[in-house]
Amino acid sequence: MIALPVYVRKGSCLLISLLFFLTAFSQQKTLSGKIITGNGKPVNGASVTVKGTSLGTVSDASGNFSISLSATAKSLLVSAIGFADQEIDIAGLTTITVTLSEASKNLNEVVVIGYGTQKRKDITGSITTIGKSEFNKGVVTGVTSLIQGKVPGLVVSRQGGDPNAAASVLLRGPSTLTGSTAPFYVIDGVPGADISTVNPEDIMSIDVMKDATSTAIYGTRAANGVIMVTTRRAKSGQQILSYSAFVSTDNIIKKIPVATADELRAYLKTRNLNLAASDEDNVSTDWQDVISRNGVSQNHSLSFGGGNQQSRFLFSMGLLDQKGVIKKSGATRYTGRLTLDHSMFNNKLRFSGNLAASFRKSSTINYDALQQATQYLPTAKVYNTDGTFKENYSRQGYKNPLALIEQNDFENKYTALTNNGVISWDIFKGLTFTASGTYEKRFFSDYNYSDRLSYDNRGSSGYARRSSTEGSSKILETYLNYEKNFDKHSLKLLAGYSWQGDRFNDGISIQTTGFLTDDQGYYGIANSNPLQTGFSYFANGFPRLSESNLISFYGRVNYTFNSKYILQAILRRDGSSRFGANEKWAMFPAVSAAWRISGEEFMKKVSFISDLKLRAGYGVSGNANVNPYQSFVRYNTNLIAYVNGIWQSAYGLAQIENPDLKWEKTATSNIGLDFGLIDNKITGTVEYYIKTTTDMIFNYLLPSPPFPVGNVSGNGGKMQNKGVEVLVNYQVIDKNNVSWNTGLNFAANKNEILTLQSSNKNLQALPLLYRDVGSLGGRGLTGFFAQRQVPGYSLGTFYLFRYAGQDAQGNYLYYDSSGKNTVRQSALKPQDQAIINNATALPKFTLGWINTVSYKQFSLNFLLRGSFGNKIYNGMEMDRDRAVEATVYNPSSSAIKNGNRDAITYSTLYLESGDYVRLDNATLYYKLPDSKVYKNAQVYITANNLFTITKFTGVDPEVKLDGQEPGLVGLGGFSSVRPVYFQIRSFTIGVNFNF
Amino acid sequence: MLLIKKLSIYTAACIILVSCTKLDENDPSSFTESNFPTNSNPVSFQLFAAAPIAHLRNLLANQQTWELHETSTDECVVPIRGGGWFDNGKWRDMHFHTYKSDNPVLKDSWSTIQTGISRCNTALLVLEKADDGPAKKEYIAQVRTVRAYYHFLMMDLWGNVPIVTKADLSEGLPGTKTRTEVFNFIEKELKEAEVDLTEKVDASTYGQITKWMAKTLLAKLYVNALAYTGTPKWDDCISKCTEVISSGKYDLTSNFLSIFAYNNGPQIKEIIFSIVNDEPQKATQLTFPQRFLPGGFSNSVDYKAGTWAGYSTLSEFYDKFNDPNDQRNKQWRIGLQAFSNGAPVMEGTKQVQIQKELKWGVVDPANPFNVGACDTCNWMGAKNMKYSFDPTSTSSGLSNDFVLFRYADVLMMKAEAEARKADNPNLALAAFNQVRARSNAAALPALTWDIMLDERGREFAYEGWRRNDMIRFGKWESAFGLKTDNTITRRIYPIPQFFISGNPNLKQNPGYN
Repeated sequence: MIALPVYVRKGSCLLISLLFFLTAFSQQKTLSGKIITGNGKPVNGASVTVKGTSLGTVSDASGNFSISLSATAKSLLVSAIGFADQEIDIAGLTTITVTLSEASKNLNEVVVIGYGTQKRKDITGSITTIGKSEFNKGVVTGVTSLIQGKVPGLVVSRQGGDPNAAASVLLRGPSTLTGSTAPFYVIDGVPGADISTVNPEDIMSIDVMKDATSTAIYGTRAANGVIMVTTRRAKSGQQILSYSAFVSTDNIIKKIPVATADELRAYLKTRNLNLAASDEDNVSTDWQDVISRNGVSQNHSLSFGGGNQQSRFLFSMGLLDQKGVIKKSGATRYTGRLTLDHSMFNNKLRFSGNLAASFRKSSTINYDALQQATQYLPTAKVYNTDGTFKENYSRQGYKNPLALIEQNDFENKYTALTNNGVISWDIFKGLTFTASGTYEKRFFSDYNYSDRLSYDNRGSSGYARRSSTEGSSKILETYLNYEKNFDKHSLKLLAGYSWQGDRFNDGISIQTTGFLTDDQGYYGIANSNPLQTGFSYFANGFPRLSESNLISFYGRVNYTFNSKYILQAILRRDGSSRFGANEKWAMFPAVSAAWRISGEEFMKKVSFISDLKLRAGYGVSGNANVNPYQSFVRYNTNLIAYVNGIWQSAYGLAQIENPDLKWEKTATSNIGLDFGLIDNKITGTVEYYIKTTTDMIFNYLLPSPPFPVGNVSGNGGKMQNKGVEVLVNYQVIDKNNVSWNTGLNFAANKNEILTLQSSNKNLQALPLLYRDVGSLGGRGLTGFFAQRQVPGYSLGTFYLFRYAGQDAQGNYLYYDSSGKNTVRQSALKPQDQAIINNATALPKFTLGWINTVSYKQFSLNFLLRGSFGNKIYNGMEMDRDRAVEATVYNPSSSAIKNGNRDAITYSTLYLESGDYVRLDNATLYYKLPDSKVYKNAQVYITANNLFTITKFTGVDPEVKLDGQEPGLVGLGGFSSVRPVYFQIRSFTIGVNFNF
Repeated sequence: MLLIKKLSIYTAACIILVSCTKLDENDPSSFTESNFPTNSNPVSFQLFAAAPIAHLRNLLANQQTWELHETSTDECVVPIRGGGWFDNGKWRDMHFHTYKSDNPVLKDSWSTIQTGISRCNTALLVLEKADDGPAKKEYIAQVRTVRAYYHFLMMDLWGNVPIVTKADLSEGLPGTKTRTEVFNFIEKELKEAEVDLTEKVDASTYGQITKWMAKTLLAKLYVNALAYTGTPKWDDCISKCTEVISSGKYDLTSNFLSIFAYNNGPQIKEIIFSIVNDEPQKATQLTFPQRFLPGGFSNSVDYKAGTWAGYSTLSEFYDKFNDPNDQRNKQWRIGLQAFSNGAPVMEGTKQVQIQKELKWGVVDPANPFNVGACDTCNWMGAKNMKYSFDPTSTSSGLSNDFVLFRYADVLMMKAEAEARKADNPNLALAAFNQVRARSNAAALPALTWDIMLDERGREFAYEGWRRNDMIRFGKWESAFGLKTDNTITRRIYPIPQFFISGNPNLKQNPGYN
């Protein structure tokens, strides 16, 4: 069945169980036993149920179980994840040993599919499941980091070790032109819940839905894929008390290569140049060292729970504290989660409740400090003799890097509370009604204080800003599941309705200046003395409330014949308030089929093939990634005007209408082959997909005249991703004491923009031939873009001047538009910039290689992953390639060697290969022998980023790959593209105890 | 049957539970069509009329219309300085008159002006719903006058441009009109609007559109009529100037620099119309010190923001200030620099010393437009500080109101029109000397057309009229700085390609492709 299969099965026979309950009262016996694998290993957490009753228990870490049952009970049902279900005859027995055969993971594993579950063997779409034991170890703070490198087609990149930067996630290539390419998260069945609230320790499994065949059930928000997270719950008969903890230490792997003080002095000497006396303090300052430190993180999680057949609970709480390798950056997070399950009327009516709370405090830094640490002269000292920071206010954009960190506080606090309740009612055999209600509340506060002496705010004697906003989501889901098996037919039906209301940005923001002391920081706002009347307290991005609704009707049919032929059809109709009056509603269909070839008679003879399934599907999912209120005319006070001798807010047109603004749609065709060979020792999947996005939501420029120049949200454009994914798992050795499992995943994706033209009838936006993105800023570099989005090319295609070597004096030469003549920088014209063929920021393919080796009490786990075929634009190296300014700004190590004396520009010189192979994660476990106090305890050591093989000269080749400007390394904090925070190598030591 | 029964119960439950499939949207913090201000609240309408006027500020922002009026002239140049200020060649092309249709300064200026026109047209749409009465008439007249000014800018900069009176596509995409057609449109609009505009000149009308502003704009249109359309309108110019002069509302202000100071306002009798700036309200885009001055002024007692050492004046233009007693010399920053409190302006251990000469080619003969990268290189070229520091400002912006039309220009336009009409430059001598006398400059003995242009340069330097004056005086094709181009088609700028590609009704100007 759908939501809670075990309970449904148990509760489906009310009368029989009542009978058993009565008889059991008089004639009871105790049955104890042990559950083991084929090679004698105990099976932990196997579910043991007396057939035809609701009685059940769970095996412990040693595989042992004990159950009181009626003396007349005939058989036991035993099931465990990863094993084939077994029915055991127990008539007359009091002890029993059950040997479970390790069914292929691909077959009987329970897969979460949205509003229900399915066995792996019945799946027709592309879903990868990663269980807890396979999660990445180390300082893992986000859900996607748990599965980084393990799901083919899911490209997760963490840019450096910033504890406050979320990983970028890209599933099967980008399929949108507006912002986020992040997948949609469903936590314990709650769609769109806030993933940052989940403590990774609480997660039992993650299912990644990759194609629209599966995701269409979440129609509207699913175009970037769906990640379903299932957290731990107590099972009947379980007593849980577990504690886990780790502490880790982080070090910078690589710094940005700039000239040292001695290199700079030597260089200037050869050029007969001198530093100004104020810049030469006869010291050697490594500014990157000055702003950094060793990072330390620790994590503690405690959970306890238990219960019986009627009521169960599990409570868990966690603390994570991180100190980043750049001074002052850090984060602390507290999480709490309570799950309750309760059943009544012999399990015909079931309740579950989930409360989750998460509190995060972050201290962030101004990324400009990274740029300043590279350009501040290493011959200057950090502090003046009086203890103040050394500053040179007259040099443009030249700030003491440490002062930038120490004199500016950026802190924020985030609180999320989620309250979810679910009722399931078995109306009659096979039919279950489920209603789920969720209320999530989010609070975000921002704190900013800049000292009275800080570079940017000393003119106003300090600056403080505080903002506080809240948001909420209300989600109601009601659905019916029906299941019927007759003869060789198996039918599952789902019909449902959901309503969601969201509120964002409800709050205030205030700023002020003029402080007499820094002592109170941002808490001293009330003590400030703004320097003059009229200071705009509210000007800096005052929040504006926005609200939206989403309503859906959905249905799904699963039909299986003879366990061989499987069909699935999904239809979802979604309506969102965010779209134009003409286009609020859209339909998202999906059909798919699978053929279990190995179930056919003729395959029985092919003994080395244990499982073979061919599946194919087509489906459409959508993206509502547009802010509310974009489709109609709005007037706002967007200008302040001098009227009758006083200043007043004047009204003007803020937005023109587009009643045709509609859903962005992504259609996926997916064909896949699942196989198991040699008794499922080798299992795997090969998939091919074509993913085409149409009606992409995009900000179109309006023709001017007659419109005010500005954007209007519209639809248009087409983008395609094609790719192949391979996942192979090989159980090389599987003995009692020794085992070795190795897995390889491979994914290749090719992205292409097909057109950018709008498809809205009533929108006369400018035709869009291309769009330039990736402006990195920098002195003398305004008006440049590093990438061009243009039909016929991939997203992330570079558009640059073409470097052509150096002239006799060492000055850089570039090809002009003809591609033949070379010119120096000052003679370059805009039309000399060109699309760089075969240079895209998106990886051509990615690889992951996972190994698990166990020997007795030890096991070793490691993940090697790589990314290939992409280019990175190293903006930081470009910005430091200014030897011509070496007396005033520190150049890069290479700049002082190459002899160029011209100004710099965006060119292929700074376009580097992004290929890399990284030993991402290696963990050595030691399983402690069970004692009276604890069981199933282990100690582990993890090394993250032990080594990286790459030609990339910057800090780290693992750069941001999502969004519209992938593969860029930025210069400073002013651009949307930021520099890369130092990448870290961390060593973690951790323990897990179960009592 | 049971199934059907249960299902219908379920369906009923769903309907009761949710009963809502409404997806209407309403932004609670904006005006929309559904909660538009009603006629009972005329203040709202005035605030709609005020927006297009307030939008004029944006013309002064970095890389905007002011730069189109100045950086291609002999008054102002933005050289490459080492690694800075290359900016994809946009400033180089302005100086060399090699501007092309993809120059971002052209694109941004076009955008800003068209946004202004669109603001006018949307404001008119709203104002037409207001109660009839003198107030409504006046608001509409104000908006039409501002719209005419935006069209004047379009026509002055690009020549052949569309006439835009709708803020939507109800009349299709606006197409190119000849410069004469646009000229006639502006003239008609101003003549009609002038009737309903206020004659009052006091603090309450300061920064607003008055009858006199409209008349001065007409005079400006007429004085350039020959350059714009080939047909002179000297008499019309003289009569509009005369109306302003004889109103008695305006006078020359004795302290020249006070006209442009941070606290200028209604007390300055010379100002006919200014773009009102106010830094505390963050209602200013006037950041000239940032764009012009060397780094030593950054975050200092006089200026609370970074300075970028960009724009300078050509030495040949600076040399025109040749009367040592002329008050107007004080608008220049040159030589050793000190702050208002007397402290020296230091860069490192050196006091900033601004030099008159931009040393073209000294650093790199192959690339003379790059004057080099060093602290002292940033000191090359005199700096105009007519719009001087605002001691109350805490950011890059200044509160100095930017003077668009002032009485001295009316006097000099009238004199020039009379001289042109009679083809005798000396007929303007009295008026020109009247304006010179205010600045304590010695009277000129005689005028030639060249001396007239020089005198306008001295009087109106950096006020956004240099390009207009040079073209009218036939000097646009002469050589200055490194620029030697003398192509006549460069008198108007190319239409930004970006907008042509979106509108087939727009035609590129001759000489550009």
